[in-house]
Amino acid sequence: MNEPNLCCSRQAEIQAWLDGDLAPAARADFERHVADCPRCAAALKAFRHVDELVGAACRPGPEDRVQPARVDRVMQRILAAPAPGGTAPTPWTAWLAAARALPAGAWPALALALGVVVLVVALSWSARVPGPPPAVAPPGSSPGHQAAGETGFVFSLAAGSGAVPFLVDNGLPLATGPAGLLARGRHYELASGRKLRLDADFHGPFRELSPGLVTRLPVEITGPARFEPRPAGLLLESGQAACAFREPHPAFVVETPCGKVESLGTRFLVEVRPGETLVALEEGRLRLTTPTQERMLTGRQAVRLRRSGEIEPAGAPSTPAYSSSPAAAPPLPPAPRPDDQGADTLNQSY
Amino acid sequence: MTGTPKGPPPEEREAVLAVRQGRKEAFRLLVENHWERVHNLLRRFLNGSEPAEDLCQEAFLQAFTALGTFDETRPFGPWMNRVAVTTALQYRRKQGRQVVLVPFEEVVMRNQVSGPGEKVLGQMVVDEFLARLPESYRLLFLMRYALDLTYEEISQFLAEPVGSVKGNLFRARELLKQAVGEPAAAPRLASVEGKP
Repeated sequence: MNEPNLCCSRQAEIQAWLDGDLAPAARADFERHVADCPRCAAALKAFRHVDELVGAACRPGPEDRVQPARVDRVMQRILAAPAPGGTAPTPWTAWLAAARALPAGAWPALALALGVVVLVVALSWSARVPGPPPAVAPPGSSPGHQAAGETGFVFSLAAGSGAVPFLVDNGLPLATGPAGLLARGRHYELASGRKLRLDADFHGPFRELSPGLVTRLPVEITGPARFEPRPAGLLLESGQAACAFREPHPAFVVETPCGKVESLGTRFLVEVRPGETLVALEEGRLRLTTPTQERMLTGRQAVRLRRSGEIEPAGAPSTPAYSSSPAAAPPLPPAPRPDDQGADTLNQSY
Repeated sequence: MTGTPKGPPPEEREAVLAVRQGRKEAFRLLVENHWERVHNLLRRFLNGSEPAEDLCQEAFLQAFTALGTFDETRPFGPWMNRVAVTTALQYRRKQGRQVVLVPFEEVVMRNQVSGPGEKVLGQMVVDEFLARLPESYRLLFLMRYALDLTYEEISQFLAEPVGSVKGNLFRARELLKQAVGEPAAAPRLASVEGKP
């Protein structure tokens, strides 16, 4: 290789010049030197040439192009994730901001209103009969069921704690803690032909504000299945999940490779098959999101989510939704009714 | 190399504020605007060993989760760059591998990046060179040339002194310069042009 630049004592300054690290006077001095030194000039040209080539080589290529389906897949995960923490405005800071915007004349009226509110609250408090604090836990809660600090849905084995030989956790038979809790972020595999009954219990401010609103939501998974408990619901990679949610609850999301099924107080079944996800709804409403479509499903319907993102009408899933108590969870419909084919739009439903 | 700091594009600032107010869908604009650069970085970092899309998704998910810490008066792109690099380094750590900038050994490196009969001038040799570099050096090039990070930022990511980062990068460029050969018609320096 031709190396015309090995002899000059100022070679070390080339890097500093390229990086813009030289002080103005030193920079000017080096540039004067380069003008008179063919070795340094050649080396500098060569380095600039390399920089141009590397810059070009590091630019995005056709395989990096943004595509709607790629963005949709990211957004699918983001929509299922908890809201970002940090400096998001709280009701208190919003109230403060609103208070700052009030005209000066409004303050006496505001103070009077606040005084009335304080008086009413004090009177209500004094009228209360002393007694034990109200139970916050839903009926059937066992001690230690709630994972401290966790918000969103927390999953536990309906059968209780202990070893479950047909449920594999990272290659080993599952052994849960005393509360029978399943850990978030772990992939569980359910053996073929087995069924697993889980309780999805919601934790968070929503429940703290309205203790009676959300109780345990039953989910039955049929193997062979692979799934992951998530704060927003369940990631179902394969297998069937039947949900019978009679109580009001925050949106429970079943994510599948072909799309997202968002339950809005309902009874439904999701089955993941190669290249498609079958969704059968018995009652209530479901919001379906694929990389290319979003639809609201109401009434007794069954649809198929394709890998391509299409949502099309479908027959019933291959097996009944629930094997347990029919009173608690009756079977899902055998097939969609012809008059139920048209799903509502999002605007109609909200 | 980093240029004058600019304010964020208004639509990106609005998107950040909307996401913080609970409109998660507003994050889509940020993904669309920055996907290419982040995917490019992670694809080249992974070097074809596995698809980059999953890691790219992870980077945006981390950015979304940490959006509360982002100063919305500044451009989103440089912050997203740092999130992407952090995601790449965390990914390797999870695999039990640390991205460490090993001292530059010219003989070892020369053997690694070049093979007999592969002297192809120009862009191809650069692509090949980058692909064959040790991972830490590839990341070094990418941080500097694809993401426009400063040496100080790079040194923080790699937990190396700035001087070490500069020196290693310069020696790797020197090696590449030798592989590429002399430019056929290299442009002259603007500051030198016009001189006799």
